[in-house]
Amino acid sequence: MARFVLRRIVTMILALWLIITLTFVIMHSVPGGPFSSERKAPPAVLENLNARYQLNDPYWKQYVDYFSNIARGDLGPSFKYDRTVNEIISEGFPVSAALGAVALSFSLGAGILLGTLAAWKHKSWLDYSAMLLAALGFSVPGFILGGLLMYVFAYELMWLPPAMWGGWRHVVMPALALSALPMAYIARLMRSGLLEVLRQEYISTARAKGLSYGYILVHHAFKNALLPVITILGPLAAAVFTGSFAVESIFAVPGLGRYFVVSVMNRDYTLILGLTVFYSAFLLVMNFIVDLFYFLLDPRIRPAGDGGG
Amino acid sequence: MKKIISSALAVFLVIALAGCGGGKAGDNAGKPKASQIIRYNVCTEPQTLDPALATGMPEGTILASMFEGLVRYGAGNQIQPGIAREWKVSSDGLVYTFKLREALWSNGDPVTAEDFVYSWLRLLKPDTAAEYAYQLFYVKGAEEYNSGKGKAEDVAVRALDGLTLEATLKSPAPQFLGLTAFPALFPVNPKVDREAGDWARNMEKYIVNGPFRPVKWQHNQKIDLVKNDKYWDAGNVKLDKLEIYLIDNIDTGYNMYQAGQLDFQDEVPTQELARLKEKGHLKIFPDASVYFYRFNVTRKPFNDPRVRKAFAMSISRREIVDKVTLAGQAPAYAFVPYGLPDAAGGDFRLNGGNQFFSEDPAGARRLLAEAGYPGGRGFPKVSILTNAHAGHQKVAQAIQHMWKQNLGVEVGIKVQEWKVYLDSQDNLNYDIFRSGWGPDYLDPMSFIDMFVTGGGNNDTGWSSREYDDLVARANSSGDQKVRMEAMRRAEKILMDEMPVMPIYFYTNPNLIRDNIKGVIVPPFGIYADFKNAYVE
Repeated sequence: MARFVLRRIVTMILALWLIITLTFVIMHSVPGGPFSSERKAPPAVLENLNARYQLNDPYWKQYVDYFSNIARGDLGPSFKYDRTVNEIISEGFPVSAALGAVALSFSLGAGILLGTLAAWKHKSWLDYSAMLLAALGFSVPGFILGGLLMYVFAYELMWLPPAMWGGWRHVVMPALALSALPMAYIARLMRSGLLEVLRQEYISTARAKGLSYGYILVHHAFKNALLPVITILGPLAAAVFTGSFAVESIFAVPGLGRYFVVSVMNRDYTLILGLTVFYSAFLLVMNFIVDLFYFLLDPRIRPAGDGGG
Repeated sequence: MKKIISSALAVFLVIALAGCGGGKAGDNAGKPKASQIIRYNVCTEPQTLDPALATGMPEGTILASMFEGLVRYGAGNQIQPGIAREWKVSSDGLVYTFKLREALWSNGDPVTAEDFVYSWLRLLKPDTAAEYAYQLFYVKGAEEYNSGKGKAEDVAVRALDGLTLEATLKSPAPQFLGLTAFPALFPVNPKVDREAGDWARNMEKYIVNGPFRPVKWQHNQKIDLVKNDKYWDAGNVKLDKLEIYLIDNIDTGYNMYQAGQLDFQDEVPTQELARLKEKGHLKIFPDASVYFYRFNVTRKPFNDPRVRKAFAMSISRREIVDKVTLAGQAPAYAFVPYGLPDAAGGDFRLNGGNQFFSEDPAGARRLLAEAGYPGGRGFPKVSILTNAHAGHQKVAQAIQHMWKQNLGVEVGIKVQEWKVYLDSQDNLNYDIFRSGWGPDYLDPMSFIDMFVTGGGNNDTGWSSREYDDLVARANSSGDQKVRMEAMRRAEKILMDEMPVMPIYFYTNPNLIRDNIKGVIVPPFGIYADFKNAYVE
């Protein structure tokens, strides 16, 4: 166990280093810089800006400095906003995470339910309509669904405020818009997982013993069919908790998602890197937690004599 | 043609007056009864609330409601006394002496001439790294200090006494006075700035000298402002509260307006323009900006002025403004927009006329044939480069179609992400480039000086000795008549050689409720001034 954990931590650090390096290279090779603008400032003014943000240093020095800063937990000042990257993340993330938690819980509940119903009544109208719903969840983009929800609930029915962040009433629509895709994903995985498990021999044995189909589904098949869902929970949680640009923009949610897009548009180098580091670390940790769960849940996955995974 | 334009202009003026001229009625009616709160969407999260660092119009709008410079623009764009109650300009146009009124900061400190000296040197200090430091480069010694070649003591700004400020310019620049109305030249409280480096981010420490003071800044949501009782003209401030929303999705802002959560938004979704106009929720204000295309004159085929002219003469601007942009824009046959004052009185564009050239497809075809492309035959593959924005793409498609019909030329449309697009402009990596320009200050020079040889905002590769001389003459003369005449002649050269093709003069449509009165929506610089605004 200890070796497994240690090995994973080392891999995570290496992955993070690789991600930062790639981002650094790509970011600096895209045309346009943080201070290019429609109204060109005189060269002396640009010089002052570059000096202030250490953009005059050679790339290798900027690269090394960046690592020494993140080692101290300092993601640097944003080039566009009069705030630090740490401040932007610590203000935006709790909002996105709260919204994401609601969305993920909803998509887990609804996805598992839909998937189970579909598998239970395989090839019935229930199966087809559940899968149609999943197909919609996959294919309708968040901003369309968001716009639709806003039209119905805020504009026509006037049950909910159209936008901004406040009480639970502000959470409903963005959470629904955010949960459509993960719900669809979970529903499909759950359905195929269950159908797969139901074909196994131990299920036939259970049937032969005279247990009811419903009982077998819940008591024997369910737990095993859940494993693929748990697998994708890591990346899914990372994606949903860090916010979505489209949904946050439509519902004016002050989360982190918008900055993933805005930082790139502004060539706000420190913010781009900071968000990448944050997101990647979050994703890696989530995957790690999922693997730990696996390790504990499923003896088949635990490798003989401890070790890798 | 002239008649159409002047009647269009008359319509703007009527609308503008209807929007801005309500002040009197409110005064006569005594204390207005409605609750005095305006909820305004400035459509973005401000990048900073530090006047020295701000560059955008949204930031400028918020800052102008909280601060006051030496002067302030009133309705109708006249310069009015602000913190300066009067000023004097020496006969050579170089020395400005401002007499300040006795005004207070929101913490009770007096606003002094020293505060302005402090703030202007702060703007120029290289470590501040202020992008708009160059707005003060008119002052002697300013550019040298900012670029590390001179010292702070040599910047020619002095406090003669507590309430007298003197600035000496390096050459005459009548636009200097107006610039003191904008954020870069606003004063900041030196005591607060020295003691609390983070004051511009921390609303509890934020000290202002203008009509409103901030209470709370919720990022990406809103900024709450309340009336500043210490403001010298607080008696004329009628709003108790100004809520500035920071909602960047304009469709969302529109929905909030519909749901009664907003009163006023700077931007209107284009698809709603017609419907809103009918329902009276739309006001169209003048905007002193021009929409135009740049030609890359450094390479074929646009190195030939005949080709550039042929292209400019073969589109229907009327059709573009009536069928595509839809907000009452005026077709442009000149480069300098309406709304900039002429020294002789009146409007620079109105006085000079808006017809340096005319639309004439047959004449355009002749020019194109002379240039070696009869009927468009043999014309190289060229394209319009625009940034990713639905509105610009629609205009480009309309123009593409007109060129094909009138000239027989196939022009492509290339779309690039904003910063890539700017990079292409910078490197002259384009054939035809979609552009727009609004003035930094209310003078034709803000447009004319763009195209001097090697100018930072020229970006066409075009160069004319005669043009450069005229701009230099205007910039060195303190005589307004000489300046205006030189600029008129320069504009004529620009339109004769046509490195840029004007398309239309912008308007500024706003989503605004009927009962919002007294807001000034100026044609440049900031979106709105709420000093005298009230709810009826």
